[in-house]
Amino acid sequence: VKLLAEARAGMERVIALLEQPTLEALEASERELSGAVRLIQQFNSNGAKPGHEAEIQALRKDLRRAGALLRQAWAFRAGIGQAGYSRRGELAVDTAALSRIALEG
Amino acid sequence: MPGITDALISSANHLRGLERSMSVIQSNVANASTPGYARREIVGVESPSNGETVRDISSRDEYAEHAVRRQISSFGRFDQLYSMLRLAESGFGVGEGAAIPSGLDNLFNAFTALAANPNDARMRQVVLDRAAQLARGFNGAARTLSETAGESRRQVTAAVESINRLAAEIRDFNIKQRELPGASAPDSGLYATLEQLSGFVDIQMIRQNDGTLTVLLGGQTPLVTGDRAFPISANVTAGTAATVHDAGGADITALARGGRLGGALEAVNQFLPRYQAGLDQLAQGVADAVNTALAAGVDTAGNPGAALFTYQLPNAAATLSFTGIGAAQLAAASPAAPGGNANALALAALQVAPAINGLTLAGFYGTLAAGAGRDVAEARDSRDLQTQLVAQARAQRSELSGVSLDEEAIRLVEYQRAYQAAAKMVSVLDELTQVALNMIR
Repeated sequence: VKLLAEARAGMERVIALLEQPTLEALEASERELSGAVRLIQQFNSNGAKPGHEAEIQALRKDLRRAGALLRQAWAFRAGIGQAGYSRRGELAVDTAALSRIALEG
Repeated sequence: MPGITDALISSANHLRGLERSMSVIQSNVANASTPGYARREIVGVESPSNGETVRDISSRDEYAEHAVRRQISSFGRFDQLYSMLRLAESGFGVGEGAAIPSGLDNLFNAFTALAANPNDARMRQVVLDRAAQLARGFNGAARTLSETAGESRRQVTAAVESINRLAAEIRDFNIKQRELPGASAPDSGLYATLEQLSGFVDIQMIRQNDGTLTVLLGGQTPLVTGDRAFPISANVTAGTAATVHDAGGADITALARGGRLGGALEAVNQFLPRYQAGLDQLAQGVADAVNTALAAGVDTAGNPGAALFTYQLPNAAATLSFTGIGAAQLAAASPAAPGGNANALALAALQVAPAINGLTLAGFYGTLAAGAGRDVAEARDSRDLQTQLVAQARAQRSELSGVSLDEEAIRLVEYQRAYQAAAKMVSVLDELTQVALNMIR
């Protein structure tokens, strides 16, 4: 239980870091995640006992949350690097949206 | 000498604008082939008092605004859905004293007691009382669902009214923009309006060349274009699916997926009808099973057993009621052995017999209640996650405003590396927790 609690505390720190996902925070979150991995490995090697389902499910929930924050953080970075512009540096036009406006107009 | 002063200020502004323009252009030229580099554009803004000024903007800012609005829209959807499902769930109690499961237990316990004393008038009366109590339990649950549906419909109407009000505010901005270009450039107030609008429905915003904003609902239906707003409307007639219509009357319900409107529509059109159908199926199942068993027996006078329950389709749960038969009319005996307890035993045995979809009556109720509980928990988890995603998107947006775009483009590669490392760790951790769960199961 102590290992699981420590792993969850680590996940909480990861989530807090990913809410402000600077490059430094992203790197720090990777270190925290590595720590959580070690704790869960240790927990597994001790043999999980019945009665810990709720804690493990809570940990999985935190993982899903961290995963979603991580995906969005990256999608945001990738998006702002390309938003609205073509590869040649020209302003890209959202033709789909404009054609819909033309139909409505 | 106001004339000369004005001219000097105007020239100074013009020069500053030119310098800025050159800087932006140099940056664009230098980075034109840099992968991921977002070109900055130059926008000239006419200002009657200060001459022409130039500011550079990037669509990165719009992307950040869009990312925030998208997350707010999802938050609104799950927050609304959670509120509605939580209300509905209150009609599906599972704990001790919950009306339907305890009502079922009480009724079948009364049948068991009747089997022990088939001709005891008090035992017979207890069965009738328990039947009436169970019927009231179903009526109460159906009423809770009906009230939740009514509240969801009110939320649909309220969301539509808010959307129309906010769209009108954006239209007013557009009108000012056309009358005096640049005088009312998008400010924090307008962005706050757009964020509010996103909370109610999924929107896309396009800035037109004349500075006005076009706002589309669900990427297709115009809410605002230029100096015109297109009010949407809702049809929330009870008993039918709630629908949303554009200004021309076309059904756009399928487009209204996000925001509070999307959440309320999901609740009233998908979740609540499913719960209602399950509850009706159970009420009908209980009534039919008990009435069929009673019809196979005889009462104290040797007459065929009378029905204990009555209901009207399609609203079996809401209309389920005790028929009002007398204690003597209860068919506890089989026709072969009048005065005996054979039929009371058959009635008691219904408690453990598969009745609906291979489940006992109580088992079927359990799946219904568990499903509703799961839906509420998922909606709550999604809402909580969205709270964090909104906070994250807002944090990223504010971070962006003070960041050099060139540096940002370069750092993208570093971000990718860090992202991949963290994503790998999440994946490993997920596998490890699955292993831990499998050990327990």
